[in-house]
Amino acid sequence: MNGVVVAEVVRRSVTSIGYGAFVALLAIVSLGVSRFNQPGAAWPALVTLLAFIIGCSSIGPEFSSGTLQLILTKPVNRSVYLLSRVAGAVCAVWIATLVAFSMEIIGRALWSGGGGLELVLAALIHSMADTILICALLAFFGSFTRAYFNIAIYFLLMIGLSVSQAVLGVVRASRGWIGEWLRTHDGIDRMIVTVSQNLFPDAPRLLDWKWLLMVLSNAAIALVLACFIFRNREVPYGAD
Amino acid sequence: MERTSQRYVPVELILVAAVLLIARIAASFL
Repeated sequence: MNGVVVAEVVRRSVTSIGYGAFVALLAIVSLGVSRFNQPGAAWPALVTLLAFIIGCSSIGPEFSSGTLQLILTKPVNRSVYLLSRVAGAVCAVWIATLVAFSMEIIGRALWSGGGGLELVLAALIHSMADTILICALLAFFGSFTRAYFNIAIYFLLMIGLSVSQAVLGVVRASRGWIGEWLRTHDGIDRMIVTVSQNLFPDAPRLLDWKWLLMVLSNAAIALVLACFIFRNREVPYGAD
Repeated sequence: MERTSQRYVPVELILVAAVLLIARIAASFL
């Protein structure tokens, strides 16, 4: 990995006003919610949102703005560049995650005697792993698309998978031959559920090593695929 | 493809992905 690229991505993310405002909101929410809600309740969802915002800026948008064309005139390895961009985005999100985590710990120490620490810790570790997967997937989708199509593909897939699960459920309950066929062939249903769980996993409440391994291995596979696709991508000047 | 090439994909990354995948498959049998 290239330290300059990682540091630059972190610097550009962290010094933006939006980031500061988001982290302040995250701190207030996690401190406030720690008073009445269960451990690790509100901030992981906000951290996921931040991961979308920061993670979607790699490769695709740079291709359209012409930044990538300029960078690739330098003798920088493409895989190293892609991985450094992802690492920088992940680090920027992790800083916000740590702020939210510390605020929740402070809130719990103040109001509930520091209970539920292991659940908050589990939420932190799960959230950090999920950030890696989100940034890796967005870099993967960005490695072969332009502009912000990476986040568009991500959301289309996410919504499409949940909608198809619902539609399949309705069709399965129907009386026709399709419903009958789906009831006897539950492989399609299981396949959609598996794909959905692998790409958009829901974090369990307790620390789960198998879940962590699944998330991290999927992220690593997405990054390897992204590197291989990005390796052969033509980056002509003035492409857009 | 040689290491100095801009298009070289690091072997370390592929190894990490392979190890994680094997660990995940192994964990699913536990």
